[in-house]
Amino acid sequence: MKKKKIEDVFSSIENFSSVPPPELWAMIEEKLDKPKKKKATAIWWSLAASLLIGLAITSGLYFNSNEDDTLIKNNNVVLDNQENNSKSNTTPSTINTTPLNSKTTITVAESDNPVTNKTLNKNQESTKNTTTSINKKNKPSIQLNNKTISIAESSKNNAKTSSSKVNSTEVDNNLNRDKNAIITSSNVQSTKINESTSSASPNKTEVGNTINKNKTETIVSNNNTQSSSKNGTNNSSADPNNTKIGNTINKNKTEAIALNSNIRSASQNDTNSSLYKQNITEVNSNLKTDQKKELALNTSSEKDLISFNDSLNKVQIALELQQLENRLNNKEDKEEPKAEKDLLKEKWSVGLYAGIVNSQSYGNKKTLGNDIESKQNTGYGVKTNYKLNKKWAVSSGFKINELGQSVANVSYYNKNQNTLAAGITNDFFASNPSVEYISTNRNYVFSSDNSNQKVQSSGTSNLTGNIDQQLQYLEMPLEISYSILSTSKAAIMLNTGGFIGKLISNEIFLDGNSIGGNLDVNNFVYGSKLSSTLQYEILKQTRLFVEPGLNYYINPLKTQSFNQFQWGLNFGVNFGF
Amino acid sequence: MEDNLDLLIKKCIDNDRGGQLRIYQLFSPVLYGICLKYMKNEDDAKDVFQEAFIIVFQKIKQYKFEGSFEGWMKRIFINKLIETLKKRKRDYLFLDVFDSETEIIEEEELEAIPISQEKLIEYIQDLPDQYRMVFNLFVFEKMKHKEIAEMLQITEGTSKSNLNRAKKILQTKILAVLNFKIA
Repeated sequence: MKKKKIEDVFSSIENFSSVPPPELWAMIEEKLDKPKKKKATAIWWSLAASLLIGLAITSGLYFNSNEDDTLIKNNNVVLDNQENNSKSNTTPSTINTTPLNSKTTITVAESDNPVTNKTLNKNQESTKNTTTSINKKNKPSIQLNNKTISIAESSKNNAKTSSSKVNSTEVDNNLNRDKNAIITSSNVQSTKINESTSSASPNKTEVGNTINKNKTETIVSNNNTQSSSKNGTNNSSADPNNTKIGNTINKNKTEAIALNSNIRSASQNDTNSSLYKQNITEVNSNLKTDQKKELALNTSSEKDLISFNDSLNKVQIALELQQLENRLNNKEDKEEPKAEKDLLKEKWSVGLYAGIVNSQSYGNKKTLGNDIESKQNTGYGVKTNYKLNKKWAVSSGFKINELGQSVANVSYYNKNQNTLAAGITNDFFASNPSVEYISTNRNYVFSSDNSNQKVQSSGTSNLTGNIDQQLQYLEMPLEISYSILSTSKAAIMLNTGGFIGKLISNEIFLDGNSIGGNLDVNNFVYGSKLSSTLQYEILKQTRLFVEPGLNYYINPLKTQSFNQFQWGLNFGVNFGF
Repeated sequence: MEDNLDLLIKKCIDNDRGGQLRIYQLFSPVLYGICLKYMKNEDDAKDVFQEAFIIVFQKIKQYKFEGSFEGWMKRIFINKLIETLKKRKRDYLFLDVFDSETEIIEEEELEAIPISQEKLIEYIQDLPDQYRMVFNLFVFEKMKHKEIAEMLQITEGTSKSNLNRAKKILQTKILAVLNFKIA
């Protein structure tokens, strides 16, 4: 007898083929058009999310810029003759003899906090079902003929006082039967579960749930008896619950029966007046029956068909819901090409990056009477990224970033030099309530053009210089990314989020020389980020990326004007694992 | 009547239901057979079969009319099958730790006894998920251990180990049948 290795034994099934059950084509045909709807839905959701983000950013900028305009007006403090005269009476006599007595204008930052945080909170929450009671009032309507049995049930539930929006779940259940399963029995059990908090509580929680369950009771039927069933759709009994259930049983010849159950459950949840957005989940699931079990349908006993098992407990419901969720998750990923799946294998990635940033402002902001100019700095950092699914990811990390600004041709006085030469003592600055020091180095006082002219007209020398201010932060961003393009090698993502920064360096440079830090600086800053990432795989699991983006700092300084926008261009490399 | 495959594919690209049905009729037995070999039971095979066929029709416009269309569909099916099985991490997470070098088994020469195809499929289905994946990829898809390792994100050693263990299990079953027949 011929000897064989194990591979040889199984080589006979190398090209094994088996005719699939006939009902599978019907199911495939039915599902062929559904993904398009999903895609369309995803696009609309993406557009809506983008619009929302855009509106939030625009609104934030708008309100912020309005308040900054007010700030600019408040920044210029003019000390006219009259005011100074009254005040100068209390100053040492030496000041009365100086030209500064006539008119002194000192620009200082003086206003309320320029920034009011505008936050847009959005709560999206889908309510999970928990079982408390079973509503037996729902009775599905039945349509029977030789080919089709359809069960449709709808019920509505309108919550009078709810401010929450509808959270609906659509479930398609296909119940397949094997060959030779002449008859099927399925009991569609719809359960409306309402759970509410105590009447004394202002919070009201209402949960809608619909569950299909196969029932193993055996009922005998044949096609001839089905014709005696009613044709047409019967509406379900009026029920205030907002649950819509449609079940369709398709029967192909006499061999297989598919049960499609469309379930829409609406749950409304109003808790502490928060607004819940509409969250629609569509779940397709296929429930299989055991080939060996023979279940029969007795159409003469329609009541049995729609009866349900009262002994269904919470655990069973939770398990079924979990299965539906799992199936939903499985289906979301089913269309990934191999390249995308390879990318998805790498759930985590770590990236190193560095780049240039350009800080600037909008709205002709001024400080010390001069226009604020943009300033270019550098930034670098590390970030880690976690893929939630093939489209969405979250990332965080650390970044050393610099926010800066320049002000050109600023007149200033060095108390150790100019003012003393002009006869001004430190007492003047100390006693004048309108004088505020920008720099931690109190030898320097900056003035606007008006006071500068006065000083010059009196023959007193003054200095002009360029001020560069530089604030360095250790930032921790938190971003969410959406992949708009993903191929085997390249990907493009849109990122948005926020960051918190801790001040680690604060310096003012006057003509390139450090004169200390800014007194008005906040130690912690907050802001928002918007960027896009273009990455390309150069080696396995190694990708280069370039990341143009925009940062907005809400509160770099307490009262003074400062560049709040920052354009950046980062270059980096990330490693997937 | 002989079908013009290219014409059928173009019909499928145009979402022509008749063309889709004909493609289904032509290739579903082979593809369903693959599903039965990779999945643990017929119900699971049906699930993946449906999903994979839908992917075929959705991605068919990406087919370049180069190479075997059946091969192109098989790749989609195998990718889908592997993806589905990998999501069931229960079975094979712990299997990665085996050291392949110590797991080499001596293959026994088996008598050529007639075993039905259905029985052989059943033996394969009884294997743990990862053993079954590796066995299928190695024996039927003729993939090398390096390729299998990359596909399943395991080491080559683990792939070899899993293959050997799969063979050992199958050997045991076949020998049991053989001994039974002899007895």
